[in-house]
Amino acid sequence: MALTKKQHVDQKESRQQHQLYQTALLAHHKQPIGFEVAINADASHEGVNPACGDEITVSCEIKHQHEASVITAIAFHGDSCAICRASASIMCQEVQGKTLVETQVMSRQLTGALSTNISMIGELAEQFSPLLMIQQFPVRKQCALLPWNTLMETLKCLPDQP
Amino acid sequence: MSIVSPWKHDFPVYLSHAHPNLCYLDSAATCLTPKHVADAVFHYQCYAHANSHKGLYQLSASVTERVEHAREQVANFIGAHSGENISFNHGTTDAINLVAYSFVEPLLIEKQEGDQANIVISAAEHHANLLPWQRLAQQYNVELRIAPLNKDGTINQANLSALLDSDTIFLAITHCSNVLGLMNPVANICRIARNKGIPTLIDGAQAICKGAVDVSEIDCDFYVFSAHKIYGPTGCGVLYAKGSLFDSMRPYQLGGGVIESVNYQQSRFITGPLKFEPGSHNVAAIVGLIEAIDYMTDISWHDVNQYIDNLANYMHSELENLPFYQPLIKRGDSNEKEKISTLVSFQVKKVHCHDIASLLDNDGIAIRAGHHCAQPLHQTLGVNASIRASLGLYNDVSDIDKLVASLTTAHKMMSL
Ligand SMILES: Cc1ncc(COP(=O)(O)O)c(C=O)c1O
Repeated sequence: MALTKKQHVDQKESRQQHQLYQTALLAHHKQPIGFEVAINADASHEGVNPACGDEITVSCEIKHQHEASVITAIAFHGDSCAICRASASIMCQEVQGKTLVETQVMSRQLTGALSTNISMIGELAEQFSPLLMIQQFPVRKQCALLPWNTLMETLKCLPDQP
Repeated sequence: MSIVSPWKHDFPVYLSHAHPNLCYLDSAATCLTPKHVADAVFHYQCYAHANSHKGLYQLSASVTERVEHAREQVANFIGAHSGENISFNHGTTDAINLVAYSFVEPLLIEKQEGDQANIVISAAEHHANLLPWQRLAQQYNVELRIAPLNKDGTINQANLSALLDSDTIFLAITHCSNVLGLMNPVANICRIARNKGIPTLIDGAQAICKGAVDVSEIDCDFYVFSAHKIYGPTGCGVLYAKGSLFDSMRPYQLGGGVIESVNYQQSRFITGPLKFEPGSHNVAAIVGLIEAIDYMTDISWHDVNQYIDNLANYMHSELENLPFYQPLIKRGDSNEKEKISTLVSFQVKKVHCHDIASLLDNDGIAIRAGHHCAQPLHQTLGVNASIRASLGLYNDVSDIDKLVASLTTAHKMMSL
């Protein structure tokens, strides 16, 4: 079900129906990765967007592999807008199998890119391409960041944080 | 019904160099500004501005006279006895806080330890008419009672009446909810309260744009509204207080212009509405309010209301034809005038309100999405948020058609 990076790019090039709601973003919205998936969660946290009352709960399963903590499974559920859902879906796709440190770096990079209008380059730009139009819709930024902020809070709930 | 609003050309925002294709459906948040009002503010600021109530020179004196005359004009507009019953402030929010801290808090302070007391509001209040009472209730350990609503979204009079008892110290309710849109029977409600000796405040923020408010007929103790909800500028609010209430109240904000005499230890306050207007007046906004009232009176409140009511009926029926349309309150069959809401709050089946608002924005449609500063009301109705479309005199059939078309496309695109 996961979209490959190649598909993201193809879809982006194929059509621009709406600046914000591009095909790639809608694909994640309609078939979100990690949505309501049952996992053996080690930690979970509910995040709320005070501006609209959206709620999302992010859970993850963590294993210690080669001296690092790795996210081996991640899932989310809750009632949210398409931007938030798609962002959560991309997040689940991207952080699966990543170490906590890598995840934190990714979160910081995305937050930075959305907040400061610094364009992303390389792999990161490809991974997050469905979200990058949000730079032009600042009022929706918080929708895209809610899953990531919630994930960061989730990681803080872990018993032995690195 | 005219196809094009006969008054649209009075609103410069629609000019070709500004936003000719704007489809503005958020007048319940704030009304667009007619040229007459913008010109009056501009003219005042350029050619007549000085500090009112302070200077002895001619320029200042004429500004003072203008503000004092404005009180009379506003009194006349809302059926108040005189300008002495009208105090200017920054808006509805400001006015409600003023009543909370200048009138109600002193009553709570007087209350003896162990005395019961309660404040009553309705389930449909804007946060502006909820939070000040919530804070006072917490601070003085009194009960905040919430009157429930009827199925049509108006306040249930019988239930409200049952909540009012000998311990009730204040009743504050909205004349018209900014989410549900129907007028509440405030004259009846105030009569019930008066018979029990309970002072009343009516939040007129949404009702004032109908132009037919008569505070003497409602017979409330306080009535509040904002100029920007009747095509005036932001920054000007009106507080009406019945009879000589102002004299018995204690100003909660203090500063220049409110004292008769002052020394380092104590001060004596002046009487009348000026006591609640510390600091320099926002005269430009007051001038704008008066111009807005004059503009509406000139083009005829009756014609405007008839036009908007017809358009509202068209809006409701067009939306009701959409299979995915889910209004927060279902419209009754009644065609009575008070039963026509010129705004509607709804959801699009299985699509988030913010996505709808962003998609509609892309089509040039300005519409509100969220809880519209009435979160508890949304909770009561079992939803997080809604989309709200509200009408102004510049809207016409084409705006509704655009809305319907855009909603249809958005639904198709987003539904799962
Ligand atoms: C019913 C109601 N009360 C109070 C307010 C607050 O008005 P203002 O923001 O002008 O103070 C509003 C404005 O949205 C309103 O609709």
